[in-house]
Parts: sequence; C-alpha cells; structure tokens
Amino acid sequence: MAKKKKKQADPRFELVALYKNFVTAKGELPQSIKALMKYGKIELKEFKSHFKNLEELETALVLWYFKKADDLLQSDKEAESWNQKDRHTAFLYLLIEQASNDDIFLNEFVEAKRASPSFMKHFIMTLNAQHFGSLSSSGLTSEVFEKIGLNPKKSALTNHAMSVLWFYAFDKTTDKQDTDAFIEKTSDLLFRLTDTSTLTSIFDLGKFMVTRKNTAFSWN
Amino acid sequence: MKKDQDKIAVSKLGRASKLANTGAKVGSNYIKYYAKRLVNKGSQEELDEANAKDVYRAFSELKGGPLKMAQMLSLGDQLLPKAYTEEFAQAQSSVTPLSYPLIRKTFKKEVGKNPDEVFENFSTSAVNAASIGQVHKGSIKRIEYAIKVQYPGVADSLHSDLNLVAPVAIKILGLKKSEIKPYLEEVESKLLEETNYEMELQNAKRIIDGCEGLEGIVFPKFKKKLSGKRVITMTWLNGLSLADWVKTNPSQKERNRIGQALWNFYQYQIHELRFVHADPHPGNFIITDEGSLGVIDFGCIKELPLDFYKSYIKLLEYSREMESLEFKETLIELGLYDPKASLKERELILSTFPEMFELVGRPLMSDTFDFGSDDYFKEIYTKGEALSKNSDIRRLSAQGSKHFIYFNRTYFGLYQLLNQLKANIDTSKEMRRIKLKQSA
Repeated sequence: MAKKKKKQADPRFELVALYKNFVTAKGELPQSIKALMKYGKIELKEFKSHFKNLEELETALVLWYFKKADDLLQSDKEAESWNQKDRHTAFLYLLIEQASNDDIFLNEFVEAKRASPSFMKHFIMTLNAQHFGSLSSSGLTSEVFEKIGLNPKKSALTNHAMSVLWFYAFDKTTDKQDTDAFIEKTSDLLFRLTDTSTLTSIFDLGKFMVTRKNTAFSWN
Repeated sequence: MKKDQDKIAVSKLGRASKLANTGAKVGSNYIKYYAKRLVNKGSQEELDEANAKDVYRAFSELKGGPLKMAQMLSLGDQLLPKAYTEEFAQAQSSVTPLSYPLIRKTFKKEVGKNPDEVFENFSTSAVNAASIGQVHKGSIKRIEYAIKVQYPGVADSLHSDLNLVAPVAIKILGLKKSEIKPYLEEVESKLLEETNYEMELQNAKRIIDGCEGLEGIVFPKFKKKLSGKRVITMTWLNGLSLADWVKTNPSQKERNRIGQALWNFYQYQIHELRFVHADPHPGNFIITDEGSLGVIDFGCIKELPLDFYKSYIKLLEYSREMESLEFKETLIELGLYDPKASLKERELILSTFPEMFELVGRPLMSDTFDFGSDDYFKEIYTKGEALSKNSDIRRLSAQGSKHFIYFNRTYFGLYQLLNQLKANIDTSKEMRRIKLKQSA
C-alpha cells in the first residue's frame, strides 16, 4: 500500500499563529515585522515571501474567521433551506464561534486596531472584494445593483459581520450572551433597513417604461 | 404577535432612552388631561389609560425584567388603577421571535446536539413566547415536546433593568418608593430564579411528585437530558390556554369543574407542600383536549416558611374574632401591626384591617364562592384604591411580612383566573383542612 503523502501545513497559517502567540504573550501588537520575526526566530525573507507587511497578515488573520465560518455554513445541509436573514445570522454565530478560540488575542487585537483607520479601510476593502456564499444577496435587487457595480447590501452585511466581531471582543457578559442579543437585534434592523423591495419596484417600472417607449407621458 | 414586543433593547443607554421617551409621552398625556379637564372633558380613567399604554409599550420593548414587572403589576389589582392592569395584562401572552440559528446554537450548547439531530420534527419558528424565553415544538416517535429557549442576556441585564424601571414606575404610576421596593426586590430575586432553567426542572419535579394523584390536574413530563441552563424540554400538552378556552364559551358546569381543580391545586400546594406555583396567569395553564387542567410553567415558585404558614393559619382561625387578643398577636407576628407605633396608627390598622381581611378572605370563609361575580372584584378594587390614596395608610410603619408579597400575588392571581373562568366553586374544604391542621 502506497504511503499517504503528509499534507504540508500552509506556512501562512504558521505566521498567523506566531502573530497570535506574540499578542497573547506580550499583551500588545508587534510594532514591526522585525520584532515578530525575532520573537519567532524566523528569517525576515520567510515573512516577506508570504505577506507584504504586517497589515496584510492582520487582514488575512481576520479574513480566516470569515472564510472558515463561510465554509461551515456552506456545508450545512439544514441551512440550505433558510432564508437570507437566517443564513446571515447563522454566519455571524459561526464567525464568533471561530473567534472564540482566540478570545484573549482578539481582545488585544481589536483594542489596538479599532483606532487604526488604515487597517479598517484596508480590511473592509479586502472583505468587500471577497465572495462569501453566506453573505451574498440573491434576487432581483441584487442583480440590479450588481449591474451598476454597486451592492450596498453586500457591503452592509460584511460591515455588520465586522461590527459583530468587534462587539464580541468587548463583551463581558456570561457566555457572551450580549453578543447573541446584539446579533439578533442588529440583524433585524439591517434587514429592515436594506429591504429594497420598493426600490426594486421602481427599477422594474423604469425598465418597463424605457423599453416600451410609450409616449403617453412625453410632452415633446 | 404584538409588534412592540418584537424588539429587545440591549444597551443600558438604549433602555434608559426608551424609558425617558415614555416619561415624555406620559408628561404629554398629563398635559392633554389637564387641558381637557379645563373644559370638563377629561377623566382620570382616560389619563390612566393613555399612561398605561405608553408605560406598557416601553416595558414590553425592554423585555426581561420590565416585561415581567408589567406582568406582575397586572396581577396586583389592589395596587394599580384598572387601566394599568388591563393594559399590562397584555404582557401575559406574547410571541417574540429569536432567529432559528440562535435557537439551534443555544440548544446545541445546552444539549450537545442540534435540534434536528434530536427531534424528527422541529418548528424553526417560535410557537409561543413569554417574558424571558420562547417555545418551539418538536417530536420524537410521535410524542410531541415543548422546547423552551431563553432569550440571551436576560439574567445579566436584570438588575440594571429593574434599577431603570424603579424610578419610572414610582413616578409614572404614582406609587411610593416603599410600596414598589418590595415588589422590585421580589421580582428581581424571583426572576433570577426563573432564568435558571435547571432550578425550574427541580421545582417542577417537587410539585409534580407532591401533587401526584390530585384529581383533574395533569403535568408535562420533563426531559432532563434535553434540558440545560437555558433550554428546557417537556412533553407537549395538547389543548387551549385557559384564556382561549374561556372564549369557546364552555358550560357553567365545565367552568366550575376546571375552577375547582385550580382551587384544589393551589390549596394543596399551600397546605400540604408549602411550596407554591406563584405565577398564576392564564398562559401558564392549559385546558387539555381530555378536559384536564394542565400546568406548564414552574419557573416562579414560592416556598412558604413554616412560621409564616403557622401565623397565616392562626390569622384565618381568629378571623371571626378580630377583637380578640390572639388576633392582634397574629397581626404582630406577621408584621402587620406594630405595638410600638402611635395610638393613631394602631387604631388605623385595627379599623381598616378587619374590613380588608374580611373582603379578601371572603372566599375562604364561605362554603361556596361565585368568582364570576364582578361585584366582588369591583369591591376589592374600589376599597384597594381608596386605601392606596389614604395618606395615613401610606405612612404606616408596619409593612407586613415580605412573604405576603408573593403569597398575595398568588391568591390575587388565582382569584383573577377564577373570575376569568366565572367559576362557582366549593371552598369549604379549605376551612376543613385548616381545622384539621389546627387539631394536628
């Protein structure tokens, strides 16, 4: 019987793990790549072959929670029949479940990063460029917006997920139950606010009027 | 489902602003009232009604402690104007939707499996809701179950919720701090107990085992393995809630039969178990398809200490000799009479207490009692309101044993349920039981 090839661990995961260890052990974020490499006794070029800078690593780190939550939800048979709101809410619960393994790290990380506009901007841009099946909005509304290169609903959903992660990091209630309440409450609000069915009707009427070229309301 | 109850205010700031907003609304209600009164069109009832609606709306949006307090106050007919109790009574049945993903997550955390791994069928939407949890329905091998899942953060926010509610309740409802304080303390401690579903399971077992064989009463079977701190699973009792059953216009005979079962259930708990289901509101009782009275919630239980119980028995014993020394001694034991108080205060107690005691104890002193008589309840309300407006009574130093709060609540809740049923029942066994206790 042929020996199974041992799967090589992604070196980026090792760097991310090193970063987490650094923050947990020292109680602060590494100020430079050099400081992180010194702590992990790793060559600088090893880091540079995978990430351009610390911000890129940090983005990948948070993105991993999102990707993992998305994968889990995509493979959840029961969730297939859920509506978009329930899928979004479930995604958020899975997101904080992933993050729950890194509670101490996350608290330090969020504390430092929430005051960093450059990280937030970079992260949100990266996040919005990603495709998460769980966060994609289906239906006519979405298609209409996609065509004009704008999907405010998707942006709102990803930003919402980020706010949940932030809220979670500072939640000191028993079993982080306030985060659950936050998810329930904000999801409800978000889906009420982004209910663009009225807008869809306007687009639909506009499309109809333009394509039919009916001159009844033309005064030229 | 009531729209106002769809939301859960999370932050303290959000909750505070909700209450402040209510205060402003109530203020405008008063302005409207006084403006109307200038032209002789406004009535105190109209003002009470408008205020009650706004206060109720705020309380129900806050859920948890405030909603529970709304429920509790609705049972205190003697304490609040009628408009408040009517509006607050709405808090007694509501549906509040938590998302299914949260239900699934909570169930898995407590039970170790997803609901769909345990139940052959599971309702992803809530079938019913209360102040601190919502109920889902599931089935295994054709046996149906009710699965109660608690709202997140109820226990943690309880104390701050009630601290927020207290000043509003005192100001808006026109109560004295000393009047509302024992209620708040009791609500807080009892609500904290109610958030502990493991304790509810123990309470249920104690009452169900204790009441085994009691005629006309059925209980669900609790599934310990499918329960936890925030999830409780019990067999589903098919039937109608007591309030819905009354709407089906049952015969007087049926009303009396159910009323009798309810009365017997409470008397048995008080005298035999001294461990009482202290949340008698219509949502906690089901009239099953077989016509039995089903009890479905054991979150709020009051244990009566032996000394309190003995004094209560003595109070009933000497109730026909209210001039006697023994009666006065019992009042002292129960903290209802302060022998060190001024002569004026002592005279006030001795002049008002017998009348009130005769009134609320009237069903216990009769062989049969018609709880369908609205006149009786109007009399309680009128006298209660007159007493609450009496500034001398408000200043009384003797407040009564703290155990009276839940004990009275239980009795008034029971009376109100029996009034809802319009039941005419045999209450003579109560006195026979008391006499037996005395001879023992």
